[in-house]
Formats: sequence, C-alpha cells, structure tokens
Amino acid sequence: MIKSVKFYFGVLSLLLTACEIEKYIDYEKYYDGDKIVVHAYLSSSRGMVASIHKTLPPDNPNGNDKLQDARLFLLSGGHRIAEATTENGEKYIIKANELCLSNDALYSIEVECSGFEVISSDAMRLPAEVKIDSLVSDELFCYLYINNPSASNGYSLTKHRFRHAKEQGRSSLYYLNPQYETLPAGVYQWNLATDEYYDSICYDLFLYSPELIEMMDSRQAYNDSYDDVFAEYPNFIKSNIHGGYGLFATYSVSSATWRKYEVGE
Amino acid sequence: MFVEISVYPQSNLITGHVCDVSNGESIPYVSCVDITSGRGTTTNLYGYFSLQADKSSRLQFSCIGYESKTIDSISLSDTVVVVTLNPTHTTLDEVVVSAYIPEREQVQMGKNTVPVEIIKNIPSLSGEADLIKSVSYLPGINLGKEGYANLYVRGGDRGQNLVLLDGIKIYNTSHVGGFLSLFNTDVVKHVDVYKGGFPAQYGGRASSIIDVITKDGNRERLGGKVSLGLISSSLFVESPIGNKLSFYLACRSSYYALFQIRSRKKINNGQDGEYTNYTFYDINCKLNWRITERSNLVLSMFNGHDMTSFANLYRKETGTSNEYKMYNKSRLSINNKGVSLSHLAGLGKIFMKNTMSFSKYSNLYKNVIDEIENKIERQEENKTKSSINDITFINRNEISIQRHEIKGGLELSCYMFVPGMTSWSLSSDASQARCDTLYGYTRTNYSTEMSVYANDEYEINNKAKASVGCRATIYKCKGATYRRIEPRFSFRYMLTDNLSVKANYTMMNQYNHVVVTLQDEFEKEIWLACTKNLRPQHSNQTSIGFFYGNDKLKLNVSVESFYKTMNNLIDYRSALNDGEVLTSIEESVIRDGQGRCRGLEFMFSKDIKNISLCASYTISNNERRFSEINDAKWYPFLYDKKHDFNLLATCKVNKKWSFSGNFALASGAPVTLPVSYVKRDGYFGGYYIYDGINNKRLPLYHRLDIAANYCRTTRKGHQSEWSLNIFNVYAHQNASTIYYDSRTGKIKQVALFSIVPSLSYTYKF
Repeated sequence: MIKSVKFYFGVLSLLLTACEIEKYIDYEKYYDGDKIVVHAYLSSSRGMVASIHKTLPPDNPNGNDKLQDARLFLLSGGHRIAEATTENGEKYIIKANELCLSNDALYSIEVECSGFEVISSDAMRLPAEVKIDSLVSDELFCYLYINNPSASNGYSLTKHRFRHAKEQGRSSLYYLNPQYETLPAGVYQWNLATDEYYDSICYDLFLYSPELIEMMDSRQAYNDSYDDVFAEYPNFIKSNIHGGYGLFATYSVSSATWRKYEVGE
Repeated sequence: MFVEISVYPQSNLITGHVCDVSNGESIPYVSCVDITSGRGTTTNLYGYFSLQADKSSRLQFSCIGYESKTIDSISLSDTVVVVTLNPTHTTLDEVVVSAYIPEREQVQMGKNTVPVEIIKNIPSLSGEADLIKSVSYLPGINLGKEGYANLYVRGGDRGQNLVLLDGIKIYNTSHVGGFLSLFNTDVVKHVDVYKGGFPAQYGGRASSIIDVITKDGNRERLGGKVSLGLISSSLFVESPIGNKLSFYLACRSSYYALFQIRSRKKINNGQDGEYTNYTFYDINCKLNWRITERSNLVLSMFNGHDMTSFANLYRKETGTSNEYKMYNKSRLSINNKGVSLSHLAGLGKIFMKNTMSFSKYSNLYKNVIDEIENKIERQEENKTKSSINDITFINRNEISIQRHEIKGGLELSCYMFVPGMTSWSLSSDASQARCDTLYGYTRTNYSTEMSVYANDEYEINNKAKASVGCRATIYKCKGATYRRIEPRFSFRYMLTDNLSVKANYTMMNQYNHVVVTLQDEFEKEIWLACTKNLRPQHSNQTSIGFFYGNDKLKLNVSVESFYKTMNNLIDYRSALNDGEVLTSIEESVIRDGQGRCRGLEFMFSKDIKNISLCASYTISNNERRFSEINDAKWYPFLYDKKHDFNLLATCKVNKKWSFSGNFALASGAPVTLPVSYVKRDGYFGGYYIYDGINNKRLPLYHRLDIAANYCRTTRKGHQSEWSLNIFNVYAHQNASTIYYDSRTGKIKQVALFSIVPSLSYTYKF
C-alpha cells in the first residue's frame, strides 16, 4: 500500500515538475529584406577599419552575407574625403597616413552597393588624444603611468602577447564605463611572472567615443538577455547607421611595449 | 438564518445583524426590503444592516442559498428578535453566499462577488482549489504565464492589486514560486473582486482590489475537514468556545520534502551527493468574540512560508592525511505574516469598524560554501534580503439616512522597507574578514500614508442611483511628500426592470512599487517606497456598461467597456540580474512609464436545472511606453491578450456526483522575434535585429480542464469526497515562449505543461 502511494505521488510530482517541453513549430516568419551592415572604427593613429556585409533572414543565420561591390567613403563636414580599399570584399581599410584628421571636425561614413540604397552614419568627432606616459619594468612587475585621463569617455586597456614577433593572444585588462566609473590617474602594475613565456607585450590604452561605449553596453545587455529564453524582452543592439545596420565609432589609442630583454627600459 | 433586530420606535430605524442558523456565520449582502414602502438595503460585508421602516411595514430578508424570511415590523419590540431560517440546501457547513441584489440593480460596476462554490469546484492544475486562479474566469482578468497564479486586471500589472485578507494587506499572494495561490480556500467565506468603479474606502493600488473575508468559526458545534492532495494536505478545525467565542484553525503543508529525506540523510552523514528541497506551509487562525449582539471583536492571523534549498557535498582524498571537502548549500525563504484585530459595532444608525493590522513580507536568499583542504577550513557566505513591514489602522463608518448610504473613514499606514540588503562574509583559519556589500538601495526606508475618504450612495429616484466619493491621501517618504485627491463616481439608470446602464470614473494612486526578479527560478518580489524621483503610480479608469438580468430565467448578461490610463509605471532594469553595482533605488528600475488599456467585456451566466454555465469574453488592447525601452515607442504589454474567452460549467448530477469543466481560448501572448540577422560585426560575432518589443504573438492558446467529485455520507453522518482533476485534458502544448534556434534557424516552442491529472481526498466532520 505504502509503495503504491509513493509511486502515485512520485509519478504525479514528476508530471508537475518535469513537464517543460520543447519542439520545433511552423510559424510565419518575417524578414525585412537584405540591408547593408557596416561596422567602422576610426582613429587618427590607426586610420579606419571596417567590415561590410548584408543582413540574413533570421531563419538562415549561416547563409552567405557577402556583398560583391560595396564602396565605403569617409566624409568630413558632409563631403567625401577618402574611400576605403578592400582585398576580400569584407574588410575595408583607410590607412592613417592617407588621412589628415582633426579633433574639431565631424566625420561620418557612407556605403554604396548596387541593388541597395546608400546608407550613412551619424556624424561625430574624434575623442581627445590619450597617452600612456611611460612604461617601466623590473624583474617582477611592469608599471604603466597614466597622468591625464579624460573622465567623460570609456577606456579599455588591452594586452597583446608576442613570441618570435607573432601575436599569441590578447586580453582585456580593464574596461571602464564612464557611466559608472572613471579611470583615475596613477600607476598601473602587473605581475610579469605569468607572461614569462612571451618575448614582448604590447599595451594598448583605448579611449572610446560615447557611441562605441553605448554599442558595447547594449551588446553586453543583449548577450545577457539572449541567453534566457524566458527574458521578458531582448535588449537591442544600438546602431547609428541610417538605411542599414551597424555602427560608426571613433576612438583614440596609445601604445607602449615591454620587451623581455630590455628590463629597466 | 438568524435575523437579530433591534428597533428604534422613535425614528423607525431598524438595525440588525444577519447570520446563518447552522453555524452562526454572519452573512454579507443579504437583501432586506420593506415590502410596504419598497425601500431596501443589504447587509454589509459583516452581516450588519440598518433600515428606515414604518411601524406597520413588513420586512423581507432574502439571500441566495437561504429561505426567505418575512417579519412584521410592528411585531418587533425594542428587544433583539431572533428569526430562524434554514438554508435551502445544506452541504454540511458550506457557506454559499451570493449577492442577492441583482447586478443590474447595483450602482457598482466592475465588481464581482466570486462564489466560494466556484472557487472550490473549478478544475485546477494540481487539484488544489485556488482562489486567485479561480477568479480568472471573469472577463478582464488574466493570470499571465500558464500555470501561474499572478493577477493582471484590465491591463494592470501584478503588483497593482490590493489583496486584503480580513483587512491584512498581503504583499505576495503565491506559493511554489507563483504556481499556487497563498489562500487556503477552506477558510474563505467571501471574495469581492473590484476591476473598476472602486469604492472610496479602497486605495493605494492602481488596478484592482481583492477583498477576502474568512469565516467566523462555527458557533454551533465542533467541525472541520482533512484534505489530502497532490501538492499538499490540509487540516481545518472550527468550534465555538462557550457562548460568545468561536474560532477556526487551518493549516496546509506540502510534502515534497519527504521524498528528499534519504538524500539529506546521506549528506548529513558526510557522503557525497546532492538534494533539492522544496516546502511550503500556511496557517490561518481566527478568534471571534461576540461581545454583544451588536458588536464583535475579531482577531485574525496568517502565516505563509515557502522554502527552496539546494545542497551538494563533494569529497576527494588527496593523500594519506589530506582531504578536500566542499559543502555548498543555498536556500531561498519567502515569508508572509499578518495579524489583524478588528472591532465591529452597530451603534444605532452607524456601523463602525476599527482595524489594526500588521503585515510583513520578506525573502531571504543565503548561499554558504564550506571548503576544507589540508585541514584548513574556509567558509564563504552570501546573503540577500528584501522585506516590507506594514502597520495599518483603518476606521470605517457606514450610515443609512433616507435615500443615502454614506460611508466615511480614515486609514493610516506606516511602512518599513528593506528593498535589498546583500552581505558577504569570508572566514578561514588563516584570516577573517567580513564585508557588508551594500548595493545602493540597501538602507531601510520608512514612509507613512494617511487617507481620509467619504462616499455617498444616493438613490435619486426609483430608476437612478449615483455613488459619489472622494479619497484624499498624504504620503510621506524620504525627501518628498505627495498629496493626492482621488474622485470616484458611479451612476446607474434602470432602462427597464431587467436592463440597466451604468457608468463610472475612478482615479487611483499607488505609492508602494514592486519589481519582480528571479532567484533560482523562483520569483521574488521587491517592494520599493516612493522617493522624490520615483513618483506614485497613477491610474484613471472610465467605464460604461449594460446589464441585463432575468431572475425567472436565471439569466444574466452584461457588456462593459473600459478605458484605463496609467502613469509613473516602473519596470525592472534587466541588466541588474548580473549583479551590476547600483547606487540608488532609482537606478534599479526604469521609471516614468505609461500604460493604456481599452477593452470590451462580455459576461453571460445561465442556470439550467442543475447545470450552471458561465461564459466570458474580453477583447482588449494593452500597451506600455518607457523612454528607455523600444525607442520610447508604445509596445504591447507582455500579458496583453487581445481575445480571451472562458467557459465554465458546473453540473450537480445528484447528491453524490458533481462535475465541472473549464475551457479557455485566447490569443497568444506577445513575444519579441527578430526581423533579420547580422552574422558578424568584426569583433563580437553575430546578433539578431528586432523592429520592436513584443512585435509578434505566440500561437493560439486553448485548454480544457475537467473535474469530477464524488461525495458520500459515512455512517457517522460525516462526508467524504474524492476529487479527480485533469488539467489540459487533450494535452495541448501551449507555448510559453518561442525563439529562433540559432543552430538550425527554425522556430522552437517551449511549453510548460501537458496533461496533468491529480486526485484529492477530503473528509469533513
């Protein structure tokens, strides 16, 4: 009797607690058509790097998103000042030495592609120059000196590790959102023991434009909500491209390199 | 039925108190009519009434479920008269009460009295009678996600409902993380649901009022019942104590924890393993002291508790004398407590009720990780706590003068909020540290709310009746004082004897906000006080409707349309779930939201012999707008159901068998689906693009539940009842959400429930 009662409650408890069912369903799909997607990043020291693709239907995320004959232009004050070059039709660049950029000017981009409307971005300025004042190291630690960070922009400090002149990997040491915290001036110190294997380490201190910060924050929020199928609604990724999707953002960067055999530099 | 009457010959005012003969329970909403003059009134929620009558008039008392009683007023002396009436059908101590005054004749609209029989007989998910779920058959009310017992009334949010249990404000109404409501239906005597047209005595919430009155306790004899169900079991006992006292005690507890005893023992004995535990219980208790024939003192208590826990133990031998051991235990406790002391008195023309109540809601999450390695112990503890404490005094007065029924009173509440307190501690043999990590809104906040109100229900002539009221409130919180005046207006006009038209306008303010977050898959609520920047929620509602009723045909039909606007709404800032550091209450929510909802509600009820049918249909449009969401554009509310149809049928075949069925058909809830996909952005990988929040709908929702009850009388004259419930009879998998599977690109549906049968047994003595 007790066994059968236990069995009964066991089965019914199971019915109640383990009844989440997933299955594929036929559902009317909606796609708002192919649109150009551009992600372009501009700095005075590194020029412009961009990627251009097209959107895909949501039910075909692994489809071909390449565009054949897209052209990317950098504009200043509404006038085209340079055109990006590409080798593979996906990555577009304008070298820094081809540009003469000013911190006061407003920059934007335009993308043309046959079969698509011309898309354009919001106009924006370059952020103020950022500088790692100096880098010194002893046998155990590496020290970066940063004296005058601007409080109104986001920062990140990235470490690139090299061995035999080849990059072995990168990691982000700091990401500071100006909405919550600012980068204080001072000394930043890292233990070198973990990087003994590498020949050199390059530190990049980035200063992001507000658009880039906004996009990165929205990207983080998107990732958080996307993982949860029961989230009330997903967070949308910000875009400042008109007629298409993506982002045009500016940044400035300052670099300093530590080399293994130059301790005390 | 007893009718206790005292007469004031000078003024011809008759006052009294009506109660049931079988158990002494007071009966609300009994019709009391002077047959000679046609004047009438009803007893209030506590069975009290007063009526102006001529000496030679005849008074008739009637209520559904009881035989009518007629008394010659002239025969009433200045002493209390007791008139005994028998219930028309006795189902052993069950109190069956319905508003006798037909809905078409009431000035109130947007109010429904839910019969306790329906609450008990409506089929349910687990076989447990559920008060909150049972009211969802009414038009304009939905429960949100399938299986949950959250209320969304006429476009409002779940935190906008004022739920009162014997005057105690209940801040969290569910067990089992939202799947079962907190109310033990064994103790429920009367439930009023207000969707609109709120009387002036209610305030402090923007969308609805659920006023639950529990039984008084049997005054005649000892009685009770024992129930065994799938999720829980319960015990209910009621009895008189002497001539003037009566009480009831009801307890309910789950027993899932019993299945986990072995796993717990294993861990307690130091063996590897893990267990998940869940338990809840609730206790209701009431003591009723009839001081005199015209005054009562009532003490009501309530305690509800939910606890879910998880623990695992991991051990590893790393050498002859070295051992690694990790014990991880987490627990979420949710507590609701309340107590109220009420004094009810009929003082001549005036009925007065004074209530002092205390209510507390709290949730506590605790996680402990205990590690021992090489005989060095390290213990880390995380705790998060949130609570609200409420002490309220309510004074209510009612008086009938000629054609006026005047109500007035005051309400004073003091609140203490602990919105969220997180502490972390670490101790080890080598060092000891303790840190209270305060994420901004951790400080205790205090606020006070004081309201005065007055309401006059005036019978203009035989056809027209109006109710005009006003509620004025001062809410004082840190850094701000809010003063609000809320007008309430209702009007009824009888077009024919069977048909009336009604209209109303009400304004409501809500000073305490709630946001809901998830902890280990369990919903927990965080109550927040208003601040200078977090302003009170505000709602305006206008409605108009036609009500038809034919007593001979036992037919009622109504059509109501409403339009509601809401301001200063809040929503939880989703990024908070990841432990983002906050610096103030304002940062934890998205505020200054707007809402608007318009709808048309149809209700049809008909009794055919022993079959009762009730059908409701709502067509509505419910939207929200927040400056930080959806580019500040209006979007459909998550629980917006454009079409919502419910059919409820109950059939009592004979004394032994009864059946009930419930069919629900509704539009799918809104869902957000992408309109295109970006495969790569150069740095972070692919992402979906959306053209708006809640831009699509889930597939059509439909479900049929049935219940069969078999009741028999034992040799001792007691009753035993078996109840079989089948939730979702044809096992239709209703979508809770849908999403694109990023691997295949196909749309996947998640359904929470398929067919769920359950069986319960009740023994009444």
